[in-house]
Amino acid sequence: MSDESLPLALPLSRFTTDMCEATNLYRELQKPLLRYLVCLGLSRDEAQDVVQDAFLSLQRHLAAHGSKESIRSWLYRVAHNQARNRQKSYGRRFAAPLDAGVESIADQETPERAVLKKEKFERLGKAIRLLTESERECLFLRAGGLRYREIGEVMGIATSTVGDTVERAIRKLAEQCNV
Amino acid sequence: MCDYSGRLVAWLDREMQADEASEIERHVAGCAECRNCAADLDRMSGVFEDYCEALVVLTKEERKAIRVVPIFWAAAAIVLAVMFAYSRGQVASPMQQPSMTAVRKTDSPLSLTVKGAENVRAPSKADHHAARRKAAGRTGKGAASPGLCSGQGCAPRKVQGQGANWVAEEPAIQIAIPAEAMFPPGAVPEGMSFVADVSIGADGRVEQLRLRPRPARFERSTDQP
Repeated sequence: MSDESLPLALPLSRFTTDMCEATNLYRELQKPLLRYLVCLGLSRDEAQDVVQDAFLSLQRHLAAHGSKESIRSWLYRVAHNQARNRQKSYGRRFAAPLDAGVESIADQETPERAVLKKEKFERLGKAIRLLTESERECLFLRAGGLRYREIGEVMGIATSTVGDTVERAIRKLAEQCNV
Repeated sequence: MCDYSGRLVAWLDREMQADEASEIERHVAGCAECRNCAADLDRMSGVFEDYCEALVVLTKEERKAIRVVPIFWAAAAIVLAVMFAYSRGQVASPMQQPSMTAVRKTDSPLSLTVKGAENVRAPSKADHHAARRKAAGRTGKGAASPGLCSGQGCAPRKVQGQGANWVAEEPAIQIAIPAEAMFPPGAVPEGMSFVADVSIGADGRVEQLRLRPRPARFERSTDQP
């Protein structure tokens, strides 16, 4: 029996519940997930592909009676791993979309505020590039609304380590940016 | 530096047990250095989140995607119309179909008019999905010449803008199809109609049907193939 035919074998009520759950999760997490992937350095198109793939994996996971516990961190982990697979030159590509994003937002402000915000974001962008990879990922996941426990599940580290990493990363940024 | 200074972010993020959090809260209330530090870290967290938010602006692409949807529906409706015409033609001669009103038979190509009427089956959901799957392939190439006209804004050849009541110059067969059976509400852009050429053989079977969308406000060129 192939994966695709599994939903048909499920009782209708369970199948419907799973689909509703997947739909609600999509509504809730599609944008934060996309933002996380773009922050990691994927292009917008790549990020959208990864999000689609991640939600397809989620449907298969639910259809195959997979665990529903920590489903949010499960989804982020799938997307995170797919993003890593797509990015072999991860560190090098990290810088490009950050600068592009800053430009696009700065255009929406009044000229004076845009200049100030742009300078602030440029300083922050440089400071972010000085962080370690795990520090960056912790901060991006935290900005996406994940709890420390969930961040730990996505990255495969202890919750206490997440706390230390986030604290250290935020302090480094504050020092660099003088916010 | 205080003992608590290494846990301020976790405290701000409410990631601590209640007893530990209240302990830090008491300390911060009495320690100006930690209070200032916590304020800085909180501000930094806010700026970082603004920065992440700024990275993804999902405006234009998303709006484009939404605008594309009616085009898909229109393409699906065209394919449905083609399938409908083929199936009618292959079952029997058009003259024998109860859902068609024979007006006059002449040589092909025939002109067909789609009007609001009751005697045609509504497309099933399966038809719709099949039509959507085939829509890109069949209609994307731009099927050729005119003849069939949809219910709204139908005005081929010399009589422009007279809607569904227009009668072809030499209509052989007039087929009435309810507009709502072909097009979901809002699927067809305003001012758009569809034209088609139908070739019917000597035995009354449909040999060829070509459909293409066109804006109703433009005069159809007579030198179309």
